[in-house]
Amino acid sequence: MSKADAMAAKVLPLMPEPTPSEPLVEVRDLRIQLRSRDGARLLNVVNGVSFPLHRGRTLGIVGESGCGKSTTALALMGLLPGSARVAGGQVQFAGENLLAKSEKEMRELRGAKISMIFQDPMVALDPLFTIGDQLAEPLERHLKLSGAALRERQVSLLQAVSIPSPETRLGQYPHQMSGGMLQRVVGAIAIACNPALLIADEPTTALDPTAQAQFLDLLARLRDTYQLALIVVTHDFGVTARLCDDVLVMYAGSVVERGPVREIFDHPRHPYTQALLAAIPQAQEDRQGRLRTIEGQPPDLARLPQGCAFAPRCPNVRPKCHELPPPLREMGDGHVASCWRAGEV
Amino acid sequence: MLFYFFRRLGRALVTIVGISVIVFVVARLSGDPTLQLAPEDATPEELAQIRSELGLDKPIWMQYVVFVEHVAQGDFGTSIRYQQPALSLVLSVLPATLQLGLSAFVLSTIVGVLLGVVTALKRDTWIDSGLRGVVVVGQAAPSFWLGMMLILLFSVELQWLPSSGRMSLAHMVLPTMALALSSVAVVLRLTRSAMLETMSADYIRFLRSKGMSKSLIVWKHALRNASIPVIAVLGLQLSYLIGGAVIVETVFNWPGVGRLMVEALNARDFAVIQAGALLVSFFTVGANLLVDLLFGLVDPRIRYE
Repeated sequence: MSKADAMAAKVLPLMPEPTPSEPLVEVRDLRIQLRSRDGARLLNVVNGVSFPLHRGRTLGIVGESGCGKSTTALALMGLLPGSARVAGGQVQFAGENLLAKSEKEMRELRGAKISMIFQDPMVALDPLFTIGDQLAEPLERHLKLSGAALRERQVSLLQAVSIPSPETRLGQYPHQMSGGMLQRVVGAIAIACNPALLIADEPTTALDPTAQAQFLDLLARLRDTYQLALIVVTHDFGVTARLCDDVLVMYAGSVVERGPVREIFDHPRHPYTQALLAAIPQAQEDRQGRLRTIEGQPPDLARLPQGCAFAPRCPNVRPKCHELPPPLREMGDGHVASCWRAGEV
Repeated sequence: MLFYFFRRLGRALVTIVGISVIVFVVARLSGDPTLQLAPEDATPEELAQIRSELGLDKPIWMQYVVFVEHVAQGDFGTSIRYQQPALSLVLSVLPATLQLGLSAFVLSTIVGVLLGVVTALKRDTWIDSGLRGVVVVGQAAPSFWLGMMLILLFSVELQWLPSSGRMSLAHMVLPTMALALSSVAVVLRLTRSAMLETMSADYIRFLRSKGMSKSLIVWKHALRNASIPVIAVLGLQLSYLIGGAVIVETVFNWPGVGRLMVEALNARDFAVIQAGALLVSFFTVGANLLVDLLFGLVDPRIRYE
């Protein structure tokens, strides 16, 4: 156990090991509709997403902008925008369906049992209040801490996310800190009340490469120390490779492939996953070559094709692909993919 | 913060000097008071004598130096019309103006901010659209028209409230309303748009993800962030309400600085115009200084700049 781990373990008592068979989170057939700008149509932005997640494990949700990955994350928090509504499915969390809970009940869970980290740390904190004040808020609200106990907890939380001279930092304002530092503060706020589930939506996209690597390491350490169930929403397979146990690839609101991270990297079954992996810039090989991209445009959710949503951009398309959307099929080893040709490739 | 304060204070003093020059020059541009003081059949010699008694025959820059020297000693000159010190004349009517202006200011701040927050939170409901209708009327209706409508309704038809003078608290109600309505409209509209903007900010979403209650998010975080443009406009409203109540004071026959100034302008009573304008500009500059200080208090980024 490293020094930082030991420090972190001091802050929050380790949770008892969860029973491995029971997932902490079980999303079943989640469907979300979004009212279009003109209000005339309902778009299916999330279309039957399912996955289990155990404590201490990490799920990566990968896809292009607008594929529904962030919407899925917000639905778990109960923070969907007013124009969106849950059209079906369940989100089981510690044995309870979150989608059936009232806003008041969700407020008790948010920040206490389920926390979220957002993309841009420079705007995630209120610029007019000190770090200490914003860190104190969830502690006061959920844990009813005050006085010396509150102060002690604030300091040790900043230590747990490796922020030097925490006493000074508590009195500072967001504009006095760097992006990487602020994302650590956001992380400290997110884990302040010892949550079971942490959702990170593009947590490193706004950071410089050094800060990115440090923050991913921090997330991994927090997950292992507190046995967090971690969901990382990203468009970056590098983040996935570094942090995740399982990957869920989304396209046009649907899951196209899901499985253990090594399986997905070594044997991607869906042509979209294959194309995404091929589009990762390689430092060594193919230096002279051009960046590989995916032909065509991301789909317009208002005009999805009748068959497979990826068919218009798919290099292996067959007539059947234009007729019926392919179901998710078991590929073995917990690997599922929705492609009519998944068995052949 | 102290450095910040002194820098703003220095800027305020420069502004006051600038205003004194403008007031002094503009008052003289309005015409020659000797013609009004002298009898109609006065000879050029008599006119020249009056001018030299008033010091108007000296070059204008020398007149200004004399003016500043006197002002520094608290002497704003003597009213040509009333033959009284101009400063005491203005000071005697200042309380009436402050009473009306400050009550209109407090009213428009409280009502404007509260309704601005409500309309932002209840966006696109009947409350929102209804109050926005009131805002349009408040901004479009000229205060003299509004004042007369209020008099017609509450004084003439219903006979609930007095229409003119300054005898009791009841006399304040109508002029305060007439003066405050346009300010309420401005403050409401600005608070609403500032609140809409802050409520969609990322840190509000992060606060919600922390499980914070709606009232804490709205009143502690969103309103404080929205208050920066609102404070700026409140500063403008404060100087407008104290310095610009001329028309409302006239409609309601309210014995304030505004009415005195109109009379002084008509009579080319330089000393009174200068004293009145300078005094009102003190309040304007003071209001701006207050706004700057509030900015520093509210926003650490301004404080540490």
